[in-house]
Amino acid sequence: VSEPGTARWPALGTTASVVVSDRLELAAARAAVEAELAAIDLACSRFRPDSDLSRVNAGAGRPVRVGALLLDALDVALRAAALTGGIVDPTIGRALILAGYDRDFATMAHARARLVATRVEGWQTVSVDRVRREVHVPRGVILDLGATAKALAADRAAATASAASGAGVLVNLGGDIAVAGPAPSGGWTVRVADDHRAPAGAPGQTLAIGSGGLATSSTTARRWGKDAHHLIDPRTGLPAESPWRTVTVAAATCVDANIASTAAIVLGHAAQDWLEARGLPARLVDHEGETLALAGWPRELAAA
Amino acid sequence: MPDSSAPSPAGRDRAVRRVRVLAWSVAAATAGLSAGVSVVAAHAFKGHDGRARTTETTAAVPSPRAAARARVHVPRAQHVPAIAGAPAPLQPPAAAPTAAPPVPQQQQQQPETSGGS
Repeated sequence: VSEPGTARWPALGTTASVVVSDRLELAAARAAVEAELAAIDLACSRFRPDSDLSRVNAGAGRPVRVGALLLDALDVALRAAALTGGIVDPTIGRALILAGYDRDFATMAHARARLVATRVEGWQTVSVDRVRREVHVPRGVILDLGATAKALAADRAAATASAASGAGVLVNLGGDIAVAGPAPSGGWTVRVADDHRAPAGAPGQTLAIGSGGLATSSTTARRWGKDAHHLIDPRTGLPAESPWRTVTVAAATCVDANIASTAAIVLGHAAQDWLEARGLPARLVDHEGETLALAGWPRELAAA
Repeated sequence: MPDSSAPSPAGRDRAVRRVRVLAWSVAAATAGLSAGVSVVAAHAFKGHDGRARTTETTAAVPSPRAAARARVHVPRAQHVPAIAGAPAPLQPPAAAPTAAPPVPQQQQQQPETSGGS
């Protein structure tokens, strides 16, 4: 019987983990994941001046030629915006910067005295020409793919690592989890919590997944200042004021799970109907720690 | 006693003829002026003429060669919405997550955590 293996390292401004069902395949799986993450970072980082995304944001209203990976990432981001009616919108970059999130989060040490709202131009202003491989955004619009690019990286990395190693693989990028290949008996055991760095004894729930993805969005993580966090409500241009502090969603892919978990935080009380209408199993936690399980999400078992 | 100021029959006939000529002159001048204004207006405000309609009717069923030569104007990419049509909907998982007992803290292999980041 093969034993699982795990590797963990810093990447994309957070922590990357890869778990393989056969530890002998760990090196091959990790190499595949690292290559995928490096490619995503070079295409989609808002903080690297040499990334395709940074060149688009600096385009000042001109079409910018980009690589295939950013085109894919933009397709995902624009699909997210279309499916959520603009609640998950890639044109929130300026709002994030005005809120103070203007550099890699690990290097942020300041706190803005007050939040400044700005109008979010909206995803309809973004044009992608796949034939010319060009992206155009109006002058002044800044794209941020934080809501979808990490989940896309998890999906792609899990698929690539499983293909490279031939083993079942789980990839965890700062709480965005994707699995590919044959799952261990009983499924992949994962834990959901407010913060992906939470210790084993922290409040949360342990469960098993067999395929697809799992994503958690939380206003308790990536916070700064008094009221600022990274989940922007495009309707106000400010960090979302939500009755939920944490939402976890399971879906067929990590991308879909992340779109839904981010949308649920921003939608607030409307999230319950929105998630149930789409049949997405979800766990919502309010600010008092009360949990709400939707669409087949399992009840928590008592500790053994 | 006859009124000396009344016109003679010959004078009355001359006056009637003058009025008749004047009426015809005014009518002719009005018609001419209308025609002139129409010509000026036709040149000032160009619209569809009979020839244009004929061409349009002919172009509705072009020959294959004419169709091949026809120039098609496609708007630049920047003016086309990024997503046309409905995108694929969000997909639920093949199976919902199942409950699992918490892993004892002393166990070496702790599960991966999905949480905010």
